[in-house]
Amino acid sequence: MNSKEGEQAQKMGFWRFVGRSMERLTWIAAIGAIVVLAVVILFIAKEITVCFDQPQSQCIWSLARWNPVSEPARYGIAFLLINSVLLAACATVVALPLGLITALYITEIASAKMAQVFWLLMRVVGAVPPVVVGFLGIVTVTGRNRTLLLSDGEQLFLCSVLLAFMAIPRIVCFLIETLRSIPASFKASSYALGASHWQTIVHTICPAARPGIAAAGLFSLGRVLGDTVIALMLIQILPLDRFAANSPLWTVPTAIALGAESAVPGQTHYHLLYLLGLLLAVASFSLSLLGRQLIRTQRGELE
Amino acid sequence: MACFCITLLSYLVAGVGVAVVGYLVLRGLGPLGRGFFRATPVYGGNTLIQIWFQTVRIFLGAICIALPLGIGAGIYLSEYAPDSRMMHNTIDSIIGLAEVPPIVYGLFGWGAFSLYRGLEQVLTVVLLTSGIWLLPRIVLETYAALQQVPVSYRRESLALGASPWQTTWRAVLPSARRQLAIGILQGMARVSGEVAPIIVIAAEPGLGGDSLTILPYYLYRSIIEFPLGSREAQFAAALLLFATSLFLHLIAMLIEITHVTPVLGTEYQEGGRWW
Repeated sequence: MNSKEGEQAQKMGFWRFVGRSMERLTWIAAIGAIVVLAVVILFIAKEITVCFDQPQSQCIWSLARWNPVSEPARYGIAFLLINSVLLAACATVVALPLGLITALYITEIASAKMAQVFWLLMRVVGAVPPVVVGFLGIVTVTGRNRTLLLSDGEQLFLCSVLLAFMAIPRIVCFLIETLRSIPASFKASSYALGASHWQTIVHTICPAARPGIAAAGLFSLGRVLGDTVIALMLIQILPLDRFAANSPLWTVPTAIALGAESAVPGQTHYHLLYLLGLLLAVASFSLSLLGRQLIRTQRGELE
Repeated sequence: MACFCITLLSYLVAGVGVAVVGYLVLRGLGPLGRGFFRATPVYGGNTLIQIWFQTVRIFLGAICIALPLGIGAGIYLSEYAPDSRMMHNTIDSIIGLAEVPPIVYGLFGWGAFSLYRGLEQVLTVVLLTSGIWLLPRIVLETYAALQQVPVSYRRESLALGASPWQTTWRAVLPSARRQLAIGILQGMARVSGEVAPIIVIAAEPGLGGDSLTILPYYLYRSIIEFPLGSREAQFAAALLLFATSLFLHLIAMLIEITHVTPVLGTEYQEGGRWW
Protein backbone atom coordinates (compact mmCIF):
# COMPACT_ATOMS: atom_id res chain seq x y z
CA MET A 1 0.00 0.00 0.00
CA ASN A 2 1.54 3.33 -0.96
CA SER A 3 1.55 6.25 1.43
CA LYS A 4 -1.22 8.20 -0.28
CA GLU A 5 -3.75 5.41 0.11
CA GLY A 6 -2.69 4.93 3.68
CA GLU A 7 -3.25 8.60 4.36
CA GLN A 8 -6.67 8.38 2.78
CA ALA A 9 -7.58 5.37 4.86
CA GLN A 10 -6.46 7.19 7.95
CA LYS A 11 -8.60 10.17 6.97
CA MET A 12 -11.59 7.92 6.39
CA GLY A 13 -11.03 6.34 9.75
CA PHE A 14 -10.93 9.76 11.36
CA TRP A 15 -14.22 10.82 9.81
CA ARG A 16 -15.82 7.54 10.71
CA PHE A 17 -14.70 8.15 14.28
CA VAL A 18 -16.19 11.66 14.19
CA GLY A 19 -19.47 10.28 12.88
CA ARG A 20 -19.61 7.59 15.54
CA SER A 21 -18.91 10.05 18.30
CA MET A 22 -21.54 12.45 17.00
CA GLU A 23 -24.08 9.63 17.06
CA ARG A 24 -23.00 8.88 20.62
CA LEU A 25 -23.39 12.56 21.49
CA THR A 26 -26.98 12.67 20.25
CA TRP A 27 -27.64 9.60 22.38
CA ILE A 28 -26.18 11.36 25.41
CA ALA A 29 -28.30 14.45 24.66
CA ALA A 30 -31.44 12.34 24.41
CA ILE A 31 -30.72 10.61 27.70
CA GLY A 32 -29.93 13.99 29.27
CA ALA A 33 -33.17 15.53 28.08
CA ILE A 34 -35.21 12.56 29.28
CA VAL A 35 -33.46 12.59 32.67
CA VAL A 36 -34.07 16.34 33.12
CA LEU A 37 -37.77 16.00 32.32
CA ALA A 38 -38.08 12.90 34.50
CA VAL A 39 -36.51 14.83 37.39
CA VAL A 40 -39.14 17.56 36.96
CA ILE A 41 -41.98 15.04 37.07
CA LEU A 42 -40.50 13.07 39.96
CA PHE A 43 -39.91 16.23 42.00
CA ILE A 44 -43.52 17.28 41.60
CA ALA A 45 -44.71 13.75 42.39
CA LYS A 46 -42.53 13.64 45.51
CA GLU A 47 -44.03 16.86 46.82
CA ILE A 48 -47.53 15.52 46.24
CA THR A 49 -47.22 12.21 48.03
CA VAL A 50 -46.51 14.16 51.22
CA CYS A 51 -49.77 16.06 50.98
CA PHE A 52 -51.97 13.00 51.38
CA ASP A 53 -50.53 12.36 54.83
CA GLN A 54 -51.82 15.71 56.03
CA PRO A 55 -54.98 15.74 58.16
CA GLN A 56 -56.81 18.32 56.04
CA SER A 57 -56.44 16.36 52.83
CA GLN A 58 -59.88 14.75 53.19
CA CYS A 59 -61.75 17.96 52.52
CA ILE A 60 -59.77 19.16 49.52
CA TRP A 61 -62.29 17.83 47.01
CA SER A 62 -65.25 19.59 48.62
CA LEU A 63 -66.81 22.58 46.97
CA ALA A 64 -65.56 24.97 49.66
CA ARG A 65 -63.82 28.12 48.48
CA TRP A 66 -60.07 28.35 48.05
CA ASN A 67 -58.82 30.59 50.82
CA PRO A 68 -55.55 29.36 52.31
CA VAL A 69 -54.94 32.47 54.42
CA SER A 70 -58.27 32.44 56.29
CA GLU A 71 -58.82 30.78 59.66
CA PRO A 72 -59.46 27.89 59.28
CA ALA A 73 -57.81 27.61 55.89
CA ARG A 74 -60.00 26.32 53.07
CA TYR A 75 -58.61 24.29 50.25
CA GLY A 76 -61.43 23.81 47.77
CA ILE A 77 -59.64 22.32 44.80
CA ALA A 78 -62.94 21.54 43.09
CA PHE A 79 -63.79 25.24 43.23
CA LEU A 80 -60.56 26.11 41.40
CA LEU A 81 -61.05 23.36 38.84
CA ILE A 82 -64.59 24.46 38.05
CA ASN A 83 -63.46 28.07 37.64
CA SER A 84 -60.58 27.06 35.37
CA VAL A 85 -62.72 24.90 33.15
CA LEU A 86 -65.46 27.53 32.99
CA LEU A 87 -63.05 30.28 32.01
CA ALA A 88 -61.27 28.13 29.41
CA ALA A 89 -64.61 26.97 27.97
CA CYS A 90 -65.91 30.55 27.71
CA ALA A 91 -62.71 31.69 25.97
CA THR A 92 -62.77 28.77 23.53
CA VAL A 93 -66.46 29.26 22.78
CA VAL A 94 -65.63 32.83 21.76
CA ALA A 95 -62.39 32.05 19.97
CA LEU A 96 -63.16 28.90 17.99
CA PRO A 97 -66.06 30.17 15.79
CA LEU A 98 -64.29 33.46 15.09
CA GLY A 99 -61.05 31.64 14.32
CA LEU A 100 -62.83 29.19 12.03
CA ILE A 101 -64.61 32.00 10.18
CA THR A 102 -61.38 33.93 9.69
CA ALA A 103 -59.56 30.81 8.49
CA LEU A 104 -62.41 30.03 6.07
CA TYR A 105 -62.24 33.56 4.73
CA ILE A 106 -58.48 33.36 4.23
CA THR A 107 -58.49 29.98 2.51
CA GLU A 108 -61.77 30.03 0.59
CA ILE A 109 -62.99 33.54 -0.10
CA ALA A 110 -60.16 36.03 -0.01
CA SER A 111 -58.05 36.89 -3.02
CA ALA A 112 -54.43 35.76 -2.87
CA LYS A 113 -53.25 39.20 -1.86
CA MET A 114 -55.89 39.65 0.87
CA ALA A 115 -55.14 36.17 2.18
CA GLN A 116 -51.48 37.11 2.53
CA VAL A 117 -52.32 40.34 4.31
CA PHE A 118 -54.63 38.51 6.72
CA TRP A 119 -52.07 35.78 7.35
CA LEU A 120 -49.42 38.38 8.12
CA LEU A 121 -51.80 40.24 10.41
CA MET A 122 -52.73 37.11 12.31
CA ARG A 123 -49.08 36.29 12.86
CA VAL A 124 -48.38 39.82 14.11
CA VAL A 125 -51.34 39.71 16.50
CA GLY A 126 -50.21 36.26 17.63
CA ALA A 127 -46.86 37.74 18.63
CA VAL A 128 -48.40 39.89 21.38
CA PRO A 129 -47.26 38.33 24.69
CA PRO A 130 -50.00 37.44 27.22
CA VAL A 131 -48.79 39.97 29.77
CA VAL A 132 -49.22 42.74 27.19
CA VAL A 133 -52.71 41.48 26.34
CA GLY A 134 -53.67 41.63 30.02
CA PHE A 135 -52.15 45.09 30.33
CA LEU A 136 -54.14 46.39 27.35
CA GLY A 137 -57.31 44.86 28.80
CA ILE A 138 -56.78 46.69 32.08
CA VAL A 139 -56.05 49.93 30.22
CA THR A 140 -59.27 49.57 28.23
CA VAL A 141 -61.36 48.98 31.34
CA THR A 142 -59.84 51.76 33.37
CA GLY A 143 -59.48 54.23 30.51
CA ARG A 144 -62.86 55.94 30.72
CA ASN A 145 -64.18 56.01 34.20
CA ARG A 146 -60.98 55.37 36.17
CA THR A 147 -62.66 52.70 38.20
CA LEU A 148 -61.44 49.18 38.70
CA LEU A 149 -64.33 47.47 40.38
CA LEU A 150 -66.11 44.85 38.36
CA SER A 151 -68.74 42.30 39.32
CA ASP A 152 -68.12 38.57 38.94
CA GLY A 153 -69.83 38.28 35.59
CA GLU A 154 -67.96 41.25 34.15
CA GLN A 155 -64.64 39.82 35.35
CA LEU A 156 -65.40 36.50 33.69
CA PHE A 157 -66.43 38.24 30.48
CA LEU A 158 -63.36 40.47 30.32
CA CYS A 159 -60.97 37.64 31.09
CA SER A 160 -62.48 35.29 28.50
CA VAL A 161 -62.42 37.99 25.83
CA LEU A 162 -58.74 38.67 26.51
CA LEU A 163 -57.92 34.96 26.48
CA ALA A 164 -59.88 34.57 23.25
CA PHE A 165 -57.94 37.44 21.72
CA MET A 166 -54.77 35.56 22.55
CA ALA A 167 -56.08 32.24 21.24
CA ILE A 168 -57.61 33.38 17.93
CA PRO A 169 -54.37 33.90 15.93
CA ARG A 170 -53.09 30.44 16.90
CA ILE A 171 -56.41 28.83 15.99
CA VAL A 172 -56.42 30.65 12.63
CA CYS A 173 -52.85 29.65 11.75
CA PHE A 174 -53.55 26.03 12.69
CA LEU A 175 -56.86 25.89 10.79
CA ILE A 176 -55.34 27.44 7.66
CA GLU A 177 -52.94 24.51 7.45
CA THR A 178 -55.78 22.04 7.99
CA LEU A 179 -58.06 23.67 5.39
CA ARG A 180 -55.24 23.89 2.85
CA SER A 181 -54.56 20.17 3.22
CA ILE A 182 -58.07 19.31 1.98
CA PRO A 183 -57.62 18.10 -1.61
CA ALA A 184 -58.85 20.40 -4.38
CA SER A 185 -60.81 17.47 -5.83
CA PHE A 186 -63.30 17.70 -2.93
CA LYS A 187 -64.18 21.23 -3.92
CA ALA A 188 -64.16 20.46 -7.63
CA SER A 189 -66.62 17.58 -7.19
CA SER A 190 -68.88 19.73 -5.07
CA TYR A 191 -68.96 22.45 -7.72
CA ALA A 192 -69.46 19.87 -10.45
CA LEU A 193 -72.60 18.67 -8.66
CA GLY A 194 -73.98 22.20 -8.85
CA ALA A 195 -73.35 23.32 -5.26
CA SER A 196 -72.86 27.01 -4.62
CA HIS A 197 -69.79 28.49 -2.98
CA TRP A 198 -71.54 28.63 0.38
CA GLN A 199 -72.89 25.09 0.11
CA THR A 200 -69.40 23.86 -0.74
CA ILE A 201 -67.98 25.53 2.36
CA VAL A 202 -70.65 24.25 4.73
CA HIS A 203 -71.31 20.78 3.34
CA THR A 204 -67.95 19.76 1.90
CA ILE A 205 -65.08 21.64 3.44
CA CYS A 206 -66.24 21.89 7.04
CA PRO A 207 -67.13 18.18 7.38
CA ALA A 208 -63.81 17.20 5.80
CA ALA A 209 -61.96 19.41 8.27
CA ARG A 210 -63.98 18.30 11.30
CA PRO A 211 -61.17 16.48 13.18
CA GLY A 212 -58.84 19.41 12.52
CA ILE A 213 -61.37 21.89 13.89
CA ALA A 214 -61.83 19.74 17.00
CA ALA A 215 -58.04 19.58 17.39
CA ALA A 216 -57.81 23.37 17.14
CA GLY A 217 -60.44 23.65 19.88
CA LEU A 218 -58.55 21.23 22.12
CA PHE A 219 -55.22 22.98 21.58
CA SER A 220 -56.67 26.37 22.39
CA LEU A 221 -58.43 24.89 25.42
CA GLY A 222 -55.10 23.53 26.67
CA ARG A 223 -53.31 26.80 26.06
CA VAL A 224 -56.02 28.86 27.76
CA LEU A 225 -56.21 26.49 30.75
CA GLY A 226 -52.52 26.99 31.42
CA ASP A 227 -52.40 30.70 30.83
CA THR A 228 -51.59 32.43 34.07
CA VAL A 229 -50.83 36.08 33.66
CA ILE A 230 -54.11 37.53 32.43
CA ALA A 231 -56.33 36.08 35.15
CA LEU A 232 -53.62 36.74 37.72
CA MET A 233 -53.35 40.43 36.88
CA LEU A 234 -57.11 40.91 36.73
CA ILE A 235 -57.76 39.22 40.06
CA GLN A 236 -55.25 41.45 41.83
CA ILE A 237 -56.81 44.61 40.47
CA LEU A 238 -60.44 44.20 39.52
CA PRO A 239 -62.50 42.46 42.25
CA LEU A 240 -64.50 44.52 44.70
CA ASP A 241 -62.20 43.58 47.53
CA ARG A 242 -58.68 42.49 46.68
CA PHE A 243 -58.34 38.70 46.33
CA ALA A 244 -62.11 38.26 46.75
CA ALA A 245 -62.56 34.63 47.70
CA ASN A 246 -65.49 34.01 45.37
CA SER A 247 -64.13 35.64 42.23
CA PRO A 248 -64.47 33.48 39.09
CA LEU A 249 -60.87 34.39 38.30
CA TRP A 250 -59.62 32.01 40.99
CA THR A 251 -58.26 29.52 38.50
CA VAL A 252 -55.66 26.83 39.11
CA PRO A 253 -52.68 28.85 37.75
CA THR A 254 -53.80 31.92 39.70
CA ALA A 255 -53.89 29.92 42.92
CA ILE A 256 -50.41 28.56 42.21
CA ALA A 257 -48.90 31.96 41.45
CA LEU A 258 -50.51 33.69 44.43
CA GLY A 259 -49.88 30.74 46.72
CA ALA A 260 -46.18 30.79 45.96
CA GLU A 261 -45.91 34.03 47.92
CA SER A 262 -47.46 32.74 51.14
CA ALA A 263 -46.86 28.99 51.16
CA VAL A 264 -44.20 27.62 53.50
CA PRO A 265 -42.51 24.30 52.65
CA GLY A 266 -44.01 21.50 54.71
CA GLN A 267 -47.48 23.01 55.01
CA THR A 268 -50.58 21.56 53.37
CA HIS A 269 -50.82 24.68 51.24
CA TYR A 270 -47.33 24.15 49.80
CA HIS A 271 -47.97 20.55 48.83
CA LEU A 272 -51.40 21.34 47.45
CA LEU A 273 -49.78 23.81 45.06
CA TYR A 274 -47.85 20.89 43.58
CA LEU A 275 -51.03 18.84 43.37
CA LEU A 276 -52.63 21.72 41.43
CA GLY A 277 -49.58 21.91 39.18
CA LEU A 278 -49.81 18.21 38.46
CA LEU A 279 -53.53 18.44 37.66
CA LEU A 280 -52.79 21.29 35.26
CA ALA A 281 -49.95 19.37 33.65
CA VAL A 282 -52.06 16.21 33.26
CA ALA A 283 -54.93 18.20 31.74
CA SER A 284 -52.82 19.97 29.11
CA PHE A 285 -50.78 16.81 28.46
CA SER A 286 -53.87 14.76 27.66
CA LEU A 287 -55.49 17.57 25.66
CA SER A 288 -52.36 17.84 23.53
CA LEU A 289 -52.13 14.07 22.95
CA LEU A 290 -55.84 13.95 22.08
CA GLY A 291 -55.36 16.83 19.66
CA ARG A 292 -52.47 15.06 17.99
CA GLN A 293 -54.58 11.92 17.66
CA LEU A 294 -57.25 14.03 15.93
CA ILE A 295 -54.66 15.43 13.51
CA ARG A 296 -53.66 11.88 12.66
CA THR A 297 -57.34 11.05 12.06
CA GLN A 298 -57.60 14.09 9.81
CA ARG A 299 -54.62 12.99 7.73
CA GLY A 300 -55.93 9.43 7.58
CA GLU A 301 -59.34 10.52 6.35
CA LEU A 302 -57.92 12.51 3.49
CA GLU A 303 -55.81 9.71 2.07
CA MET B 1 -74.92 36.59 1.19
CA ALA B 2 -73.63 34.01 3.67
CA CYS B 3 -70.16 34.34 2.22
CA PHE B 4 -70.48 38.07 2.75
CA CYS B 5 -71.16 37.45 6.44
CA ILE B 6 -67.97 35.40 6.70
CA THR B 7 -66.04 38.22 5.05
CA LEU B 8 -67.57 40.79 7.35
CA LEU B 9 -66.83 38.82 10.53
CA SER B 10 -63.26 38.12 9.53
CA TYR B 11 -62.75 41.80 8.76
CA LEU B 12 -64.09 42.47 12.24
CA VAL B 13 -61.55 40.08 13.78
CA ALA B 14 -58.76 41.63 11.74
CA GLY B 15 -59.97 45.13 12.63
CA VAL B 16 -59.82 44.37 16.35
CA GLY B 17 -56.30 43.02 15.87
CA VAL B 18 -55.17 46.10 13.94
CA ALA B 19 -56.79 48.41 16.49
CA VAL B 20 -55.11 46.72 19.46
CA VAL B 21 -51.65 46.57 17.89
CA GLY B 22 -51.99 50.10 16.52
CA TYR B 23 -53.09 51.45 19.89
CA LEU B 24 -50.13 49.78 21.59
CA VAL B 25 -47.67 51.21 19.07
CA LEU B 26 -49.17 54.71 19.09
CA ARG B 27 -49.25 55.03 22.86
CA GLY B 28 -45.93 53.29 23.42
CA LEU B 29 -43.70 54.82 20.78
CA GLY B 30 -43.26 58.22 22.43
CA PRO B 31 -42.47 56.98 25.96
CA LEU B 32 -40.24 54.27 24.50
CA GLY B 33 -38.19 56.84 22.62
CA ARG B 34 -37.90 59.01 25.73
CA GLY B 35 -37.04 56.27 28.23
CA PHE B 36 -34.85 54.10 26.07
CA PHE B 37 -31.51 55.73 26.78
CA ARG B 38 -32.38 57.91 29.76
CA ALA B 39 -32.37 56.58 33.31
CA THR B 40 -35.61 57.31 35.16
CA PRO B 41 -36.77 56.46 38.69
CA VAL B 42 -39.74 54.59 37.15
CA TYR B 43 -37.39 51.86 36.02
CA GLY B 44 -35.51 51.83 39.32
CA GLY B 45 -32.80 54.16 38.04
CA ASN B 46 -32.10 52.01 35.00
CA THR B 47 -32.52 52.92 31.40
CA LEU B 48 -34.96 50.79 29.48
CA ILE B 49 -32.15 49.44 27.33
CA GLN B 50 -30.35 48.09 30.42
CA ILE B 51 -33.46 46.18 31.48
CA TRP B 52 -33.84 44.92 27.95
CA PHE B 53 -30.23 43.71 27.78
CA GLN B 54 -30.68 41.92 31.08
CA THR B 55 -33.81 40.21 29.68
CA VAL B 56 -32.11 39.23 26.44
CA ARG B 57 -29.12 37.86 28.33
CA ILE B 58 -31.29 35.61 30.46
CA PHE B 59 -33.22 34.22 27.56
CA LEU B 60 -30.08 33.70 25.49
CA GLY B 61 -28.73 31.73 28.45
CA ALA B 62 -31.90 29.63 28.58
CA ILE B 63 -31.61 28.93 24.87
CA CYS B 64 -27.94 27.99 25.24
CA ILE B 65 -29.01 25.36 27.77
CA ALA B 66 -31.95 24.05 25.79
CA LEU B 67 -30.59 24.09 22.24
CA PRO B 68 -27.70 21.56 22.32
CA LEU B 69 -29.62 19.14 24.51
CA GLY B 70 -32.88 19.57 22.61
CA ILE B 71 -31.50 19.35 19.10
CA GLY B 72 -29.30 16.38 19.99
CA ALA B 73 -32.21 14.56 21.57
CA GLY B 74 -34.44 15.37 18.60
CA ILE B 75 -31.88 14.00 16.14
CA TYR B 76 -31.46 10.83 18.18
CA LEU B 77 -35.20 10.24 18.56
CA SER B 78 -35.84 10.85 14.88
CA GLU B 79 -32.85 9.11 13.27
CA TYR B 80 -31.26 6.57 15.57
CA ALA B 81 -33.77 5.52 18.20
CA PRO B 82 -34.81 1.87 18.00
CA ASP B 83 -38.29 1.42 16.57
CA SER B 84 -39.69 0.05 19.81
CA ARG B 85 -42.88 0.63 21.70
CA MET B 86 -41.02 2.26 24.57
CA MET B 87 -39.40 4.79 22.24
CA HIS B 88 -42.76 5.74 20.78
CA ASN B 89 -44.11 6.28 24.28
CA THR B 90 -41.07 8.41 25.13
CA ILE B 91 -41.59 10.56 22.05
CA ASP B 92 -45.29 10.94 22.83
CA SER B 93 -44.52 11.99 26.40
CA ILE B 94 -42.01 14.60 25.28
CA ILE B 95 -44.55 15.96 22.80
CA GLY B 96 -47.12 16.13 25.58
CA LEU B 97 -44.67 17.80 27.96
CA ALA B 98 -44.04 20.54 25.40
CA GLU B 99 -47.63 21.69 25.91
CA VAL B 100 -47.49 21.67 29.71
CA PRO B 101 -48.03 25.27 30.88
CA PRO B 102 -44.93 27.21 31.94
CA ILE B 103 -46.22 27.75 35.45
CA VAL B 104 -45.70 24.06 36.21
CA TYR B 105 -42.04 24.39 35.27
CA GLY B 106 -41.95 27.57 37.36
CA LEU B 107 -43.31 25.56 40.29
CA PHE B 108 -40.52 23.06 39.82
CA GLY B 109 -37.89 25.80 39.69
CA TRP B 110 -39.37 27.47 42.75
CA GLY B 111 -39.31 24.30 44.83
CA ALA B 112 -36.22 22.55 43.54
CA PHE B 113 -33.77 25.40 43.30
CA SER B 114 -34.77 27.10 46.52
CA LEU B 115 -33.90 23.88 48.36
CA TYR B 116 -30.30 24.42 47.42
CA ARG B 117 -29.26 27.68 48.94
CA GLY B 118 -26.10 27.62 46.90
CA LEU B 119 -28.11 29.08 44.06
CA GLU B 120 -28.96 32.36 45.70
CA GLN B 121 -29.06 34.23 42.46
CA VAL B 122 -32.60 34.46 41.23
CA LEU B 123 -31.42 35.15 37.70
CA THR B 124 -29.70 31.77 37.53
CA VAL B 125 -32.88 30.08 38.73
CA VAL B 126 -34.97 31.88 36.11
CA LEU B 127 -32.44 30.97 33.44
CA LEU B 128 -32.39 27.27 34.40
CA THR B 129 -36.16 27.07 34.66
CA SER B 130 -36.72 28.74 31.30
CA GLY B 131 -34.15 26.38 29.77
CA ILE B 132 -35.95 23.33 31.16
CA TRP B 133 -39.29 24.69 29.99
CA LEU B 134 -37.92 25.28 26.50
CA LEU B 135 -36.30 21.84 26.28
CA PRO B 136 -39.27 19.60 25.34
CA ARG B 137 -40.46 22.21 22.85
CA ILE B 138 -37.10 22.19 21.05
CA VAL B 139 -36.97 18.38 21.07
CA LEU B 140 -40.46 18.35 19.56
CA GLU B 141 -39.64 20.95 16.89
CA THR B 142 -36.42 19.14 15.89
CA TYR B 143 -38.19 15.80 15.76
CA ALA B 144 -41.06 17.20 13.68
CA ALA B 145 -38.70 18.99 11.29
CA LEU B 146 -36.59 15.87 10.71
CA GLN B 147 -39.65 13.67 10.24
CA GLN B 148 -40.81 15.95 7.42
CA VAL B 149 -37.76 15.10 5.34
CA PRO B 150 -38.76 12.40 2.84
CA VAL B 151 -37.40 8.98 3.67
CA SER B 152 -36.09 8.61 0.11
CA TYR B 153 -33.38 11.20 0.89
CA ARG B 154 -32.03 8.85 3.53
CA ARG B 155 -32.30 5.75 1.35
CA GLU B 156 -30.50 7.40 -1.54
CA SER B 157 -27.76 8.76 0.68
CA LEU B 158 -27.21 5.35 2.24
CA ALA B 159 -27.28 3.69 -1.18
CA LEU B 160 -24.44 5.98 -2.27
CA GLY B 161 -22.34 4.56 0.53
CA ALA B 162 -22.68 7.28 3.13
CA SER B 163 -22.55 6.34 6.78
CA PRO B 164 -25.60 7.00 8.97
CA TRP B 165 -24.05 10.14 10.44
CA GLN B 166 -23.09 11.45 6.98
CA THR B 167 -26.69 10.85 5.94
CA THR B 168 -27.98 12.83 8.89
CA TRP B 169 -25.45 15.64 8.49
CA ARG B 170 -25.38 16.02 4.73
CA ALA B 171 -28.80 14.82 3.54
CA VAL B 172 -31.37 15.16 6.31
CA LEU B 173 -30.31 18.21 8.32
CA PRO B 174 -29.89 20.58 5.33
CA SER B 175 -33.44 19.82 4.16
CA ALA B 176 -34.84 20.25 7.65
CA ARG B 177 -32.91 23.46 8.36
CA ARG B 178 -35.67 25.95 7.62
CA GLN B 179 -38.38 24.10 9.52
CA LEU B 180 -35.99 23.74 12.44
CA ALA B 181 -35.17 27.46 12.45
CA ILE B 182 -38.86 28.39 12.34
CA GLY B 183 -39.68 26.12 15.26
CA ILE B 184 -36.80 27.35 17.38
CA LEU B 185 -37.53 31.02 16.67
CA GLN B 186 -41.16 30.58 17.66
CA GLY B 187 -40.11 28.83 20.86
CA MET B 188 -37.74 31.71 21.61
CA ALA B 189 -40.49 34.25 20.96
CA ARG B 190 -42.75 32.43 23.38
CA VAL B 191 -40.13 32.27 26.12
CA SER B 192 -39.25 35.96 25.67
CA GLY B 193 -42.76 37.11 26.57
CA GLU B 194 -43.66 34.56 29.22
CA VAL B 195 -43.75 35.74 32.79
CA ALA B 196 -45.53 32.93 34.69
CA PRO B 197 -42.41 30.99 35.81
CA ILE B 198 -40.70 34.22 36.84
CA ILE B 199 -43.67 35.22 39.02
CA VAL B 200 -43.57 31.92 40.89
CA ILE B 201 -39.79 31.97 41.33
CA ALA B 202 -39.64 35.62 42.37
CA ALA B 203 -42.26 34.99 45.06
CA GLU B 204 -39.65 33.12 47.12
CA PRO B 205 -38.51 35.71 49.67
CA GLY B 206 -34.97 34.42 50.01
CA LEU B 207 -34.32 34.87 46.34
CA GLY B 208 -34.55 38.65 46.31
CA GLY B 209 -37.25 38.91 43.68
CA ASP B 210 -37.91 42.60 44.23
CA SER B 211 -34.67 43.62 42.59
CA LEU B 212 -35.47 41.50 39.57
CA THR B 213 -35.30 43.61 36.43
CA ILE B 214 -36.59 41.38 33.66
CA LEU B 215 -38.84 43.16 31.21
CA PRO B 216 -42.05 41.05 31.40
CA TYR B 217 -41.75 40.79 35.18
CA TYR B 218 -41.17 44.52 35.46
CA LEU B 219 -44.33 45.16 33.43
CA TYR B 220 -46.36 42.75 35.58
CA ARG B 221 -45.14 44.28 38.84
CA SER B 222 -45.76 47.84 37.72
CA ILE B 223 -49.31 47.00 36.64
CA ILE B 224 -50.35 45.31 39.85
CA GLU B 225 -48.65 47.88 42.05
CA PHE B 226 -49.82 51.01 40.21
CA PRO B 227 -53.05 49.93 38.47
CA LEU B 228 -54.13 53.54 38.02
CA GLY B 229 -50.70 55.15 37.89
CA SER B 230 -48.86 56.74 35.03
CA ARG B 231 -49.24 54.66 31.90
CA GLU B 232 -46.21 56.03 30.04
CA ALA B 233 -43.55 53.68 31.40
CA GLN B 234 -45.90 50.71 31.21
CA PHE B 235 -46.71 51.36 27.57
CA ALA B 236 -43.03 51.71 26.74
CA ALA B 237 -42.22 48.38 28.41
CA ALA B 238 -45.21 46.68 26.77
CA LEU B 239 -44.21 47.92 23.33
CA LEU B 240 -40.60 46.84 23.80
CA LEU B 241 -41.75 43.39 24.89
CA PHE B 242 -44.06 43.14 21.89
CA ALA B 243 -41.30 44.34 19.55
CA THR B 244 -38.88 41.69 20.83
CA SER B 245 -41.38 38.91 20.31
CA LEU B 246 -42.46 40.32 16.94
CA PHE B 247 -38.86 40.53 15.73
CA LEU B 248 -38.36 36.79 16.31
CA HIS B 249 -41.73 36.01 14.72
CA LEU B 250 -40.86 38.15 11.68
CA ILE B 251 -37.62 36.25 11.06
CA ALA B 252 -39.57 32.99 11.28
CA MET B 253 -42.16 34.38 8.85
CA LEU B 254 -39.46 35.47 6.40
CA ILE B 255 -38.01 31.96 6.40
CA GLU B 256 -41.49 30.54 5.94
CA ILE B 257 -42.37 32.86 3.03
CA THR B 258 -39.16 32.25 1.10
CA HIS B 259 -39.48 28.49 1.56
CA VAL B 260 -40.37 26.60 -1.59
CA THR B 261 -42.59 23.71 -0.58
CA PRO B 262 -41.32 20.45 -2.05
CA VAL B 263 -43.76 18.33 -4.04
CA LEU B 264 -45.43 15.92 -1.68
CA GLY B 265 -44.73 12.33 -2.61
CA THR B 266 -45.78 8.97 -1.26
CA GLU B 267 -42.60 8.78 0.80
CA TYR B 268 -44.03 11.43 3.15
CA GLN B 269 -46.47 8.91 4.46
CA GLU B 270 -43.83 6.42 5.45
CA GLY B 271 -42.49 8.49 8.34
CA GLY B 272 -38.90 9.60 8.28
CA ARG B 273 -37.14 6.28 8.78
CA TRP B 274 -35.04 4.25 6.46
CA TRP B 275 -35.77 0.86 7.91
